[in-house]
Amino acid sequence: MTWMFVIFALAAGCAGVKPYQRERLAKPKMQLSDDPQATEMTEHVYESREGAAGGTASGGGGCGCN
Amino acid sequence: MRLQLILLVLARVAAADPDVTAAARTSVYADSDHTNVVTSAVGASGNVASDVRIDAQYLVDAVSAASVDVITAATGRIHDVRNELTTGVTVGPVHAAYIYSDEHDWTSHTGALGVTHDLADHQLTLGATATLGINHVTKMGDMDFSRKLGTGGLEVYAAYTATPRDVILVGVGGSYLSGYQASPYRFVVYGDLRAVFERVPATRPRETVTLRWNHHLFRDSALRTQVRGYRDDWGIWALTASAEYIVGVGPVDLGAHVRGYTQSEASFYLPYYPTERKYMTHDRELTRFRDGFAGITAVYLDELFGQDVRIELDVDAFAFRFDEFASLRSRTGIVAGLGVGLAL
Repeated sequence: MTWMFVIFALAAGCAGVKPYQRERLAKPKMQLSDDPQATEMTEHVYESREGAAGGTASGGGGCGCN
Repeated sequence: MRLQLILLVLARVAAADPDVTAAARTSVYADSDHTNVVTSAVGASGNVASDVRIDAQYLVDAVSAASVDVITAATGRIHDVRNELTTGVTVGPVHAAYIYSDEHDWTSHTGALGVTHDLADHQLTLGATATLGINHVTKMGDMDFSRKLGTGGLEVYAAYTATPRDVILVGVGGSYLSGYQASPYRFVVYGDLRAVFERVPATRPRETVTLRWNHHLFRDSALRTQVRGYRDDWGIWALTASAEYIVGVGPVDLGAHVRGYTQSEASFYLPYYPTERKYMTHDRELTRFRDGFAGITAVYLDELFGQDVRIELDVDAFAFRFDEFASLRSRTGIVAGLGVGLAL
């Protein structure tokens, strides 16, 4: 959890990004997840064919491993 | 029944608030290992009260396979359908979801609980998602075969707005699997052509670290990058890296992306087992291999017939290279998807 406190300290210590400066950040292409349905399907392709899983906060259940 | 539930959700949210979104998507997967998968999903979400939003999604996977796995299990080409129903509710910063999934030899129930919290004038968002699942594994053609697999996981992340052009996310996650994790159809040949069913450890702790960075470039374009590290106590470590460049052309966002993945083999995997061992596997996903995906995306975002519409088309080509798996040295294929979203 140390990294969280480090990031929080950095955030608190840095000059904030003002609301009027967030026009670019509000665009869909700048979102961390702009289409959850597409993300879920894509991640299922990866997770059912690779040994690693997780780190994406995508849902889903079942095997689907063929 | 599932369609009725989706319609019920749509009717309920439409009556309460106009802030309703609906989405549908279909994707097609086809590879050189004779596996085809068609996945379709339809979902909707909307407010039922000022601070309460509900969502539901129905997804179906139709699989047709005559892959090396299937042939090795001597079952011939298989056709299978997986149904998945997701329902969720969001109350303020808390989101809860239940996922039910069913196929002919696998049933799972998964619950998820997530929470987010904004700090520093929305410059920093902390989030956590916990999941808990129970899976019931059966075997076609064997009425007595019944196994359980329990799963639990926790992911925490911090998303930080570093500059007016940069968003950075750091996340760590862990999960724990306990129960039956082998395939009831896969067997391992060893020694003098003797064979046993696959045997793998009953528990599997897994850990991930993820770093994502979205950077707004010149004019109307952005670069999205991600790196993920993974390890588990089966001896597998993996590294994933991806990058996507998106540029806006009028109401259309055009993107090109690449993704690379590499992993080591499980500590108990051997290309050939001279004698019987406690753990034995013939699972290519537990071998050392690498893969790469590359593709393009086009997203239309605008009004169409008076509605806010999102139409997304994406196509990917991929290639896998298995270094130590004699039954399948490589695999290539494509994944294509078409999605439509509406803000009603």
